[in-house]
Amino acid sequence: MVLTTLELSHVTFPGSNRQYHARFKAGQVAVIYGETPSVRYRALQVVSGQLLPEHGLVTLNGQILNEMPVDKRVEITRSQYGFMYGNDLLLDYLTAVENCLIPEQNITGITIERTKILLRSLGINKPELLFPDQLSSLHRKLVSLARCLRLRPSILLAFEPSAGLSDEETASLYSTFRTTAMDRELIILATEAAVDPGLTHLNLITLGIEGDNEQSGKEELK
Amino acid sequence: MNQTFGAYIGRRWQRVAAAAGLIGLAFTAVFLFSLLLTANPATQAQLEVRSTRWVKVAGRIAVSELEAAVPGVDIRVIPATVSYLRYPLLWGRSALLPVYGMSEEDARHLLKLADSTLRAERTLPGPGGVYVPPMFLRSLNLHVGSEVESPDSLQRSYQYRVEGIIEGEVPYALTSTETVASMPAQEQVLLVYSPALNTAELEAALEQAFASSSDVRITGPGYYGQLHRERMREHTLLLTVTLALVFMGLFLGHWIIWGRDRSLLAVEQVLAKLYYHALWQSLFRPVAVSLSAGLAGYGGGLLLSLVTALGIGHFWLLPRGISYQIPWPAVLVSLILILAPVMANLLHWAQARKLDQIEFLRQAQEFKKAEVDHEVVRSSPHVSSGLQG
Repeated sequence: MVLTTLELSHVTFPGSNRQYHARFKAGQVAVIYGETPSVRYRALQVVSGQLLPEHGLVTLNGQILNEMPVDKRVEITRSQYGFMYGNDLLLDYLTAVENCLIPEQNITGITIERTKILLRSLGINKPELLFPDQLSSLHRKLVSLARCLRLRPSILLAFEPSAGLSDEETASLYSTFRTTAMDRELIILATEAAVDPGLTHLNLITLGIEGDNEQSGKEELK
Repeated sequence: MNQTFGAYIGRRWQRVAAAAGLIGLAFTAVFLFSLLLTANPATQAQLEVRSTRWVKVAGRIAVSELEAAVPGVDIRVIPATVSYLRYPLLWGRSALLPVYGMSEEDARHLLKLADSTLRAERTLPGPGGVYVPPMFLRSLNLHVGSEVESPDSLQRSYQYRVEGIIEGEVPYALTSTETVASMPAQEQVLLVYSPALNTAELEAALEQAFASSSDVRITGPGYYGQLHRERMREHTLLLTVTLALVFMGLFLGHWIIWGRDRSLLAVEQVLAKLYYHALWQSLFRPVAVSLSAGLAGYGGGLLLSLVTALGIGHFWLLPRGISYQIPWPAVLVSLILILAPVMANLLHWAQARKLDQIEFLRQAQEFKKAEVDHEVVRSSPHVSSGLQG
């Protein structure tokens, strides 16, 4: 089975004038930090093929996204990428299970049971009975994560996922990201304003974006 | 996402019920307003039903001249002297009930033509007496034997006594030629009908025959139909203004009710783009919910209105001799009220789109939680001391 790889070759993100070079493999969690939220959001859009970088190439499993026609890129974005946001995007009138089932076009008994199992595995008990206002901030993020995972993405892009979480909850969330990335062999790319020191033990890959300055060149990933 | 509106209605039923209730009340108000507004025209139309049985010909014309004017048409003529009794309506208005003075033979003829049943001792009342229809008795709270003093248009009073009742579909009053001569504003008329033609056709034939004559006035169903349409024009104008005002009020009310869903709409928009790649998918839930509330409100309002209308008609209008009819045109036109919650929701949806998306996606959602009731906490034996106070 071919594991997913995502490569950035001399990529310049909109709002930044530096070039970035990075390679992500299935099972890895990376954090893009720095600059403004809009710059970080556009970085995710470049990585997912929704936006073309100002310079450089974005390669997914050996295919260069920049050189594909728009409809092909759209198809890949929709089939390979999942999106998770700081705003949980949970509907307050639906239970945790029902919120997870929103992407489903055909809901069957088996679908519902699988969703319950997935949520329980993430630490949410009785998800079929709980509404968002009965869940902790962390559990709401996990429901949001579970909803993304329903579509089996190869790459999960998380925009400011720790918004509204305490340091302890943020560490717990990223720990779950690591476990999920390894179990499901997917790449998780998140953005944050800054990388919390409490996350260093998780061995996350970090990529700092810098804005307008006179220096340019490659930045190797650590 | 099309399946979420059922969950929304089930779990936010109070909000949906409030929206439906508002529409129901608004519809009921419009319905009853229209009902009361059309009560006067309906009563006047009822009083003018006689035009379906005969055509009135007034002016300087003899029976022989009338028969000669429409050769080939078999017409029957009942000569009469007509005056009018004031018939009270709603809102201080009044209509006119014709009282025909004629011979006994002609009275028997007229009673048969109108399919009326006379509840009296004689075919015609005695001097100063009048036979009236039941609805006239109710309108003035009279009974057989009542003495009535009534002013004419010049405020001169004249008196009459109710001596009998004329029952039937056609309301009119009967008296003797001597009594009607003492009543104001009487005129000599010919009541004309034809076994071969209906009154509309007869009216048209007579109008054609006397088109060049200014001395003869023909009054039939065409005339009263035109009169009814003019009366209803006022109702139509008032109903239109009322509906517009009610619609604006409903829109404002629903704008307030659904305003609490603004952030929910923004979330649904993002989810629709994310998972269904089509923003319009997020429209389904709010439109379906507001349409459901609209239809439920309309249906409930219609039921309430019909029951109320029957009550008002039975206990208030009919006992006062006022006719009424269910305002079905207003019922149909009021369907537009269902659009008020839909438009309010659509506007909220459009405004939710204008949120700064990047900032919106970045922020954590705020979910309202129930506030802790500290009294309960303090007094409950099951709460640990650390949570009290």
